Amino acid sequence: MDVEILESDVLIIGAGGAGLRAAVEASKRGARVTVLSKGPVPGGATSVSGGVIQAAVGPDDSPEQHFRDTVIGGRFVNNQRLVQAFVHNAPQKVLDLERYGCAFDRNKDGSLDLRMPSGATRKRGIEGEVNSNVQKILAQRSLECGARIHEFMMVTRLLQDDKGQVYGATAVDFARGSFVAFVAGAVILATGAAGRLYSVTACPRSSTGDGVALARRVGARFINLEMMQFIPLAYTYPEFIKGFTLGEAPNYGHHTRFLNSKGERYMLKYDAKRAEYATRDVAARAGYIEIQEGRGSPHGGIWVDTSGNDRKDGLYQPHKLADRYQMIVDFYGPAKANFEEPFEATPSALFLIGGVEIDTDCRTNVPGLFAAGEVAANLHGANRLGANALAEIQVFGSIAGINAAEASRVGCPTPIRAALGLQISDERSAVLGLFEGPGKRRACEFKHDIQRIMWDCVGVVRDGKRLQIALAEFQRLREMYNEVRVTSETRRYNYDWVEALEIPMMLDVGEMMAAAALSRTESRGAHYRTDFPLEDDANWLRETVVQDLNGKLTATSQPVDMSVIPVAELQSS
Amino acid sequence: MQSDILTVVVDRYDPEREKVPRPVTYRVPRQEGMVVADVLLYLYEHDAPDLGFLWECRTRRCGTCAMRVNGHPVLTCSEPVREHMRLSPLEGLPVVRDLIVDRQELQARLAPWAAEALEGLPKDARILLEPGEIAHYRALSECIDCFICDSVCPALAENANGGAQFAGPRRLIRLEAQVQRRAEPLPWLLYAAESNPSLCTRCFACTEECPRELRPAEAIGSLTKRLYERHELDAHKTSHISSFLRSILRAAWLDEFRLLVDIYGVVGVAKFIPQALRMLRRGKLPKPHFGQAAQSTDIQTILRGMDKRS
Repeated sequence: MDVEILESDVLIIGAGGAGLRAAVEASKRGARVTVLSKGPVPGGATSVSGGVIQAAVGPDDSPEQHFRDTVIGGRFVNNQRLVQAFVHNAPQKVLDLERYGCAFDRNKDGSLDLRMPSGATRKRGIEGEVNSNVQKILAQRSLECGARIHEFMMVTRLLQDDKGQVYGATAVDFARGSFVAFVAGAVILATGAAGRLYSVTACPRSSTGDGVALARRVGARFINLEMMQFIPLAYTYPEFIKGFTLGEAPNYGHHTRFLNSKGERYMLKYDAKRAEYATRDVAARAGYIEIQEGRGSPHGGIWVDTSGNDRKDGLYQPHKLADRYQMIVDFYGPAKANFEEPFEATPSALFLIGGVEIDTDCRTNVPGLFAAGEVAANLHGANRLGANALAEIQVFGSIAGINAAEASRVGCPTPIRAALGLQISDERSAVLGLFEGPGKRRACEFKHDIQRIMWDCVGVVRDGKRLQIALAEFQRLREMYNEVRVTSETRRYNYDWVEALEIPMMLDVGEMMAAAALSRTESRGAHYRTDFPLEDDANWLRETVVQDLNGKLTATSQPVDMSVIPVAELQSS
Repeated sequence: MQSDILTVVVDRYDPEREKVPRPVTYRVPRQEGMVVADVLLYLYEHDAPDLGFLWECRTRRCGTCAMRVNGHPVLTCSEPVREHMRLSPLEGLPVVRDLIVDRQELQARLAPWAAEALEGLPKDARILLEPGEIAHYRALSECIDCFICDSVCPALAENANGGAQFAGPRRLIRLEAQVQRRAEPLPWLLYAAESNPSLCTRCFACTEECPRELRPAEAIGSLTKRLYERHELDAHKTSHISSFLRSILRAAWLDEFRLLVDIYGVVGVAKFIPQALRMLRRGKLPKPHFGQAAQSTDIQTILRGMDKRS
């Protein structure tokens, strides 16, 4: 066996905002850092995000107020210790970005030009940078600090010693078409989003939830995996763009109307008071139900009527959203972009709120394994506020980088390396085996099946029966997986190979999400069940916990950390 | 009437096995609002599982999906389809496979200076921009590395013929952004000097083709000007610019004889005599002008105004 093994102190899986911020902090502390990116940099969810970053920096604001907004928005099931660490660190960690080369919007007097993100009660949204640029600047900064970043490197497995400590990972170098192993003193998971599990998503190609699957296989615990956030409005076509976000009603002004195919303002049925301006989860759910019940538009969406809005309305601000505005012009035409005609929009999978359980040091329950960003939980509770995720990746990316650098000082002991060698050669056979064997089915067929099952059964609206169907379907697909074969011989930049590696991961993640959704027998925030349509505070001010114990999936729950402000006090405020 | 089927010719190419690209014709069912990337995904899922192409963000942020459609460089994620299309990789860059060109390693692409000794440099020190300067800075810093500008740059194509190496618009716009923001811009400016920005031919193809409407040509001009003002250009280039400016400010026309004398000196000009005789024979030697050019005050006002603005 001839496998290239690369050594470093800290191995970071994922090169979005969280992974790169961790790389900066760990490198500054003298650690040798390797960052693996499944796709290009920029790429991944950071690169396509809205670009508004939330931190309590305004004159009338405080970390305390940011805390309250976040926990109230999260329907009280956020881990309060994580929220506390988040709101206090956010101002500094976000403003560091300006020293790295970002340029945020500032007023003439030099103060930051802030906006009000949805769900916030103070002007707290820092903006101005296209977010692919933030990612690029962080990558540049990491490289200047001495970190090594490898693009097109898909991690297939975490390496563990017999006590369960994580010491590295194996990967497919998609650009060269080879198999590589990485050994490190500590590993940070920063793999981000999982939106690609759904047929309609705002996420880019790489967001298949790999980090969740990798962590599952080394025994990590997962919190609130049933919490998947959907954005109410997204493109219905072209197919390639389908699901990319068009935001929510306030993005277009104060007089946005949502209409179904009968021309009814259906939102009045779902939230008579706030109608189109209801929270994201309510608006997304209403649209989904209208479409499912046959009152959708020709391309499977609902109609968004913006004609009552003034284009000069401060909320729309085409000059600030030039990128997005131009996309509407290009794909839907200028009449729709200029509020002269209604356009079609569909709800779309946006953000995985749940994830790997971490403490305030970003440690998981698996020794040697840290996690930060979208792959980790539980900062957002049952509903993520807009603009909190971009601050989250700066805060927890930093914390993970600092702590992993410290933890990596012991390094990987020599006797353990021998044991890792065995895992590496096993994995190599499995990964290269996909080119051989009698199978005939292509991975992309499986992928479409998984995405459809997730959209129909573990989507915007759930119920016990559909969740059971999803679990059974995933089991069926798992049994069929040995029929998958990479049909083309070429190894370099072979998407067929990458997708074949993604399928078992997507099944692992989807199965846990369905199991978590089945176990939470209530509706809260992003999680809505028709068989349990109400919030149940008496039983469910709790986190769901899913864990794979030696091949057996368990779904339990635990009380949520409320050590900072009691929920009763927040509910009455 | 639009037909239901699109005809697409793709230049398939595996440089390890083939000498030249091999055009292959495919037929793809048309859908409403289809973009070129939809066609590529259709081919991948049906007729050509091994088709080499890249995509990631879907929305003009990652730059990986750039290629040529009927010879014209575009981002396929947002390019509407046409009835007959020929898809080929970007021009002038090494082809890895089919429609994929060599985008270089991340470090070489994003921060080539990080490889140089940067010890002791103020990495985090950035100046805060005035509100009026921010838009300008963003127009420099929002490059997505799609390589379209490099692919259309004739000066970069000249590198293959030897001589001084031009770094190309993609790297130079990035350097200009560094120089704008770094509290101590000198190291990046010196790095820019080694990149030979003055070899730019001012054809503006890069600015014209940039899918994000950035202006690399203008950034290169700005870098050249900074280097000139700091006397960081080589002696020839500095004399060239000085003489050019003097000539225009004096009489609003370019005195090409004077230009040669200023650059090469009275003796040095002697080596151009055979060339001058050849030009004279073919009637290509510029006629000497005297006095002021027509509308000279206007031209001079514009030049002075440009100087103040930049």
